[in-house]
Amino acid sequence: MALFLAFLLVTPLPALVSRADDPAPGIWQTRSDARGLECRTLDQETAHGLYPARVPDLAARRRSDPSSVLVCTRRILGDQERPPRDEAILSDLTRTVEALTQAAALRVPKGITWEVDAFYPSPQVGAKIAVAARTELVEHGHSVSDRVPVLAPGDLSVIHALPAEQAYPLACARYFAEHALTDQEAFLGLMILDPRETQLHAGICTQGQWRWIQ
Amino acid sequence: MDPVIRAWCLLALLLPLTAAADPAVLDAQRAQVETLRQEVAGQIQLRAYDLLDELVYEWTQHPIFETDTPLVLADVSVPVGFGSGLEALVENHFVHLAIENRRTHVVLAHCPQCTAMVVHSGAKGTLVSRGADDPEVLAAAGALAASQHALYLDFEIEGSSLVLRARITRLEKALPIIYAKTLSSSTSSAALLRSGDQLKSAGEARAEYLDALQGRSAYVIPFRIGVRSYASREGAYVTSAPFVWLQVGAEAAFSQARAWTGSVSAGVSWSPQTHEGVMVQGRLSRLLSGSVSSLTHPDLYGFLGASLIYVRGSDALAFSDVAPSIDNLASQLKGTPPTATFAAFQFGLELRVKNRLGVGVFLEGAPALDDAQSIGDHLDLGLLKFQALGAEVSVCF
Amino acid sequence: MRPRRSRGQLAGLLAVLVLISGCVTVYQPLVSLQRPVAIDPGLPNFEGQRVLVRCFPGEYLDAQEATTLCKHVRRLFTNQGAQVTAVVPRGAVSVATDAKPDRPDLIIDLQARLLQEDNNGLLWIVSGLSLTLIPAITDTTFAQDVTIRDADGALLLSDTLQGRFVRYFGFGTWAVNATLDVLVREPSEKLTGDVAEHDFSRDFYRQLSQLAFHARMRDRVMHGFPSSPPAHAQPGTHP
Repeated sequence: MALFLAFLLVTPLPALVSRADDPAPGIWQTRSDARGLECRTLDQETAHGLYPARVPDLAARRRSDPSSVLVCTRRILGDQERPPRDEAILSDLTRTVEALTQAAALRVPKGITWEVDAFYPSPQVGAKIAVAARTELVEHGHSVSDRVPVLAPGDLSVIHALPAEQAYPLACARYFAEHALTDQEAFLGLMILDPRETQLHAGICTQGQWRWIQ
Repeated sequence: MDPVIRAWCLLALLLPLTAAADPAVLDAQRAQVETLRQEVAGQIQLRAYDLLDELVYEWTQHPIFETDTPLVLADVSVPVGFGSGLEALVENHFVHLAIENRRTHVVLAHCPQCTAMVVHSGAKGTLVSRGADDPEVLAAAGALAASQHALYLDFEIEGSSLVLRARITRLEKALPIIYAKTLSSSTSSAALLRSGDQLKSAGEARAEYLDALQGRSAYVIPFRIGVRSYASREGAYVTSAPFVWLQVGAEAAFSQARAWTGSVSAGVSWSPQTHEGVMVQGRLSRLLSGSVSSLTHPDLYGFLGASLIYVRGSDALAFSDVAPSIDNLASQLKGTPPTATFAAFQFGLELRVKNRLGVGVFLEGAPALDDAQSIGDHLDLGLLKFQALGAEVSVCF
Repeated sequence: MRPRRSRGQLAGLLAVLVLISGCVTVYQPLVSLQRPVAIDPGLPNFEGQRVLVRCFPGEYLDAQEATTLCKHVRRLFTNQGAQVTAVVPRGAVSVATDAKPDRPDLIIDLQARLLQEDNNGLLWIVSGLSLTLIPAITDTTFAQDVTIRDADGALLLSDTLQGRFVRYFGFGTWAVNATLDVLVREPSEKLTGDVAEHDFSRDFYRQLSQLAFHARMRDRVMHGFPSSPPAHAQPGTHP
């Protein structure tokens, strides 16, 4: 009887061993491990180009009937290692910043010098956002300054008490009034407007006028 | 239910309950989390080094400055959540790269005021900033003689990638960024193929990687020397001595990953005046120690095989299902040696090093030997019986 | 020769195996479903908002399933304070809605697609022959397209959530996983039961809530902040 029970448990194992590579939860992978993967589906030829050791080449006779390959890479940090909002924004930072800076650059004439800053509850994450935006703009051939326009403490105390839709336009007007920005300069601000968001908004300050991009 | 099984089930059920209440287990779990975090930091460190290698390699190919130019390493930012230990490691590696690669025309300069906090009071108020962020203050303090340029390195974890953003700023009032570059570990090459004083491009590193892969031919010729030892049945008149087999065959991998391989081989066994034997065998192996065979570590394969074995000589009597008799001996004396032919299946493990050397152990069962008078079972699972225990060494070409 | 009573017991046990063969379904989030969210679907995040949800039937969801989906999504946003209308369209629909007093603030369109399905008939035969000790495996990859527009039809947000369900049918796999669930796995790692459905539902509803909130904030920004923010919202950071 004991052997029979052991046989019942052992017989499905070969089928399960053959799925040892499967990133889905199972015997070899826990649910939390599976959630730590970033997966995408690629055609076999592309996947072979990226991972020649793990994905076989598409045989010539099968080029008309390619398979698709599920490619999964493990996220470096697990769940809950950073606050969810920070993790969501940082995980997609390159793509987000690229989209926002491209949208911003279209609205400003060439030859303008950019100054960039981010407004985010965590100063560390805000610094990362600002650096990403500056780097992206320089890589696309724009003139960027590492300076950040600053306001007097009195201005700041007034602006902090206002809701976002009033604060940013007022700050923009003050930048120009105080000559923290000139006519040849544009300021790109990146921010979140609500703590329940995991997306960034952006606005441009040029010649004392604030415009929301997204 | 078998009382032994009942006891094991009860013990297994009790284990999770007792484990939950033990504070020592909680401490062990905390220690495990810390160990995992250090492993992650180690992986990030290696990826960060890769990205710096790629950055400096690009500077050797397309220098930013035409002549040797002093550059201050103003800031190294590590991913959010990581500490200053990683900063120091990254800084040291970058300094090493800069020293080893003079073609970049980058000469690292020492400017402690650039990285220190400075306080500047003026008509508009008091400003607290780092020195590099306020070049006018640095100029007033005479600290800009060391260098006119500052380098910032920023690392961040974005999902499964580590991203490096490097920028160089000219230390003047406008702080213009004169160079910026974004590099991601999702597109860089493994550290395995680079060293700090012999940098190579991502393309060259990838070409070397592909060469290393393709150097692993899909087909190999394995030579195996193995020993099969058959269990003896109690009260047997004839016992079987171990059989030494020499096999040669062909093995093919079904992909570059070598996760599945198949082989066919032929073998011979010979012992003077006791037996001659031939065997043909087919085998299917699966990599157990990962999904890709390693370039640097031994690989563990599990295999299933089937054989057809023919033995001639006095040793063949051991495989007979009738007891030896005078007739058998008389036949042998007349020059008609006994023979035995049977099919067998194997189930075993093989440790293979760089697809050249292998060591394996296996169990072999032959249903035809169930009734053999002299052969017993090494392992009897009821439905499956294994009569032989084997070990082998293989060399592949 | 085995005694008849033992043979009968064995036959009975095998029959029970076939009868109690069960499924173990595992769920793997692929794209966007496992993204971190900052919104709590238990709070009134859409108070005072009018939301129109349209669930389009297709090859992956038939009309009945689309209706069930719409019912669940309606409840999701109703619980968050919104006034929700759920519709299962048949045929072509216009992007915008008519100019009525109760025009929705957000129009959420949901359409599911089947990306890939692996269901090997040979494995089903082998499973039958082994009395389901060897499992039959069905592997399905799906995509849920989410498009959110304002009342004028302007696109606010578009995203695709991809996931995968792998269903193992057979006593063997069920027994192995049930044993592991009882003896080895933590409660949060169990696989048997309706864990897969729970996990997917939790992921899907959280992502949908987050996307809808993003769309709502974009709508406010692009229309110049037309109404005052909800009472419970905290302001973000300022310059």
